[in-house]
Amino acid sequence: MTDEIPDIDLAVHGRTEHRREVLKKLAGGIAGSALLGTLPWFAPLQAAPAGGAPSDRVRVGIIGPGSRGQFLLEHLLHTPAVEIAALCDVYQPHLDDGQRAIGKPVAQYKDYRRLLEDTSIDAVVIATPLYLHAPMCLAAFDAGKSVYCEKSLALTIDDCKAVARAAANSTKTFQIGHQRLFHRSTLYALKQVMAGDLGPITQIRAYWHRNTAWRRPVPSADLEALFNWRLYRKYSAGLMTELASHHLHVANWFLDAHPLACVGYGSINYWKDGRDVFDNVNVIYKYPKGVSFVYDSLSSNRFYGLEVQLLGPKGTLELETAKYYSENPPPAPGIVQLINQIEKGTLEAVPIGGPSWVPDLKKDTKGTPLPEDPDRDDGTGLSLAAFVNAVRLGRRAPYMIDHAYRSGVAALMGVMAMEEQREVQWPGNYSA
Amino acid sequence: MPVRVYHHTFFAMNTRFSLVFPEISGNLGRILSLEVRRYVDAQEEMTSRFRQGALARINAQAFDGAARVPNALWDVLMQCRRHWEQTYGLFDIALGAYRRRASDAPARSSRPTEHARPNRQYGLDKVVFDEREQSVRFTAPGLVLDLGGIGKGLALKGVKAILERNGVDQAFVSFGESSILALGEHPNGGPWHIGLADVPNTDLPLSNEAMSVSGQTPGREHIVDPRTGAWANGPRMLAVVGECPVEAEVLSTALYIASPAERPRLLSRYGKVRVLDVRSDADFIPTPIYEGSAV
Repeated sequence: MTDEIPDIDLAVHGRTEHRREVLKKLAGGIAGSALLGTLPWFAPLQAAPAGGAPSDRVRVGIIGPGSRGQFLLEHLLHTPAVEIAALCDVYQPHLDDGQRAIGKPVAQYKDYRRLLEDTSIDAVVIATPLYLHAPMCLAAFDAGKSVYCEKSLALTIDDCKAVARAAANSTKTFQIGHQRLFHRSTLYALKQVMAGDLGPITQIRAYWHRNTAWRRPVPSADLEALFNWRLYRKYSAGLMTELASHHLHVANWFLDAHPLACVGYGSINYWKDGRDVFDNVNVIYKYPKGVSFVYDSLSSNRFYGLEVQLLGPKGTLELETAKYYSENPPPAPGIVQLINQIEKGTLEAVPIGGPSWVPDLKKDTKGTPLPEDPDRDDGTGLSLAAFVNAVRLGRRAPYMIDHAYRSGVAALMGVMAMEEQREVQWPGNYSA
Repeated sequence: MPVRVYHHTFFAMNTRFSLVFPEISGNLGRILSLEVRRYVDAQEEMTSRFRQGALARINAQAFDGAARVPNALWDVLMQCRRHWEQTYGLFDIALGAYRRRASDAPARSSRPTEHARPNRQYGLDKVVFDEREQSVRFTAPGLVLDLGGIGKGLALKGVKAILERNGVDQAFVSFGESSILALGEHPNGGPWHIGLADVPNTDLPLSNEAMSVSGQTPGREHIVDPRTGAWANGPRMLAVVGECPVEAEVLSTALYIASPAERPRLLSRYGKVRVLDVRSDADFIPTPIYEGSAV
């Protein structure tokens, strides 16, 4: 058993053979890893990666090869066993981009329902606007497909429940696009939390600050909703579902709980450009054991960028910058030398004395870096590899429904708290 | 023979406090660390001008009228007054306002003229002690008492008592590396051999002794010359080794401020200590240069 997490070098342009080797090494390392062996969603990766046999092949349809969909497609093109069988989008240039990336002709659809009728397709990857996640997921399960759906889960809590229930009742694989579950430095952070390096987590703070209209140029006015769906409540829940859901997912995961309730305020205080989702959100979530998760997101200032901070009596973890900060200062180098000397039974002068040591200010504190993957891969490559392996082996992706449901619902609770100006309670499990 | 060591480092008084206990169990080490930590925290609460303890209250009230002083802090203030007298006023806890003002100044002050007394607004002579009422009153507006120059020494003295009461006869305690207590002897035999960081070849043997190091770090100066109100401009570093952590602390500050010619007179008022005066990496006056009152 080892404390180490094997290298996970799955950068987006990594070649298939390289990925196969990395996955092979990882498959052997999971069982021996003190951490990875305990994470259920790593179970499909314990199987050896697919070879080149036709029986190993997983035929995948991409629904929504836009910006995020294109990124997922790039990964899938280098993932062992994957054959991209079809593309679906209402916007032809996205289909053309996808086709170009694949490099050979594949079936193209404007209507996802037609793609789902293709019985040779094993799985679909859904990277569409939020309001489409639920109908597409439900239809895909009905058609007997495995589903990889981008976060957040759905536009309404009822839809979240419906999708989670359908996923639970399906024998096929369901996975949500929370790539942090497979992100190396986040896994090391989890290991530190489990080892007690923070003590109990007493608060989680997260923010995502940008100085951007979040508006994409539109080729023609009739495409406004297609391009800028994130800005309209009919299609999206704005900053909470598109950004906060990632950090809410981390909070739920690390606290191993869903939020009990939340309160918050939001407004449009800068980008008064016709959008009807908040351009700033500020929500506090209540978790069990008196722990709070404090979140805010701005669209009018990027000075503080993005971060998720786990705080406890013994230390702080910052996951986006992958750093650990101990509440206890490190001993002076001379003290370390003295301890080594005593332990080894030697005796010589140790250089310790000097003007009084003064702790660094927060801005000067360097922290202890958490190990990252080469190329700073965000976990997406491994996440897709796990999904494909699960589909190939006919397995479900353990705990994925809970990860998807908790974060999807928590994001929507925040939206409701701000829109309805009230405390919103956890709406219960999806089986209820 | 390899020896098991218990070590714990924590924040206190805006620096780090390290305990090293050879040859005790982890359980006893943790219990002792906890007791020491609680004691140091209580000392800081009482003596820090930045926390909401007794000293902060007195600083806030004593110019408007006499402020009553709790027993423990009164004892500390009396010790400080005695050391102020013994050091010819060089160790002075009433210079906090100068420090605050100097911190705001853009450039470091040049070396002050010895014994010059320009514009002396603050100092312990501006504090009236009423021993019958156990109260203090400031006669200068803005005066601030600051125990930073003695607080670590007082804490180390108390920690020494805690360890001895618990039967610990061998320990190494470092308070920010500037205040050190070496209890008993090194587990490998003989005294603890302590050098100065960044000064090669220094070796101060410590056995049941304390060491205090004074020096100004550029940009983080903190020692004020009471005669001028400017930053003291002493040697690069000055270390004092003696039996009492409080006296070592007081003397390292006072000797840092004093000119070399003034030092013998000052030391004649104290017990046996050793002093190391570091001018540069290659130029330090080896210990001992002063051996107590005979000098």
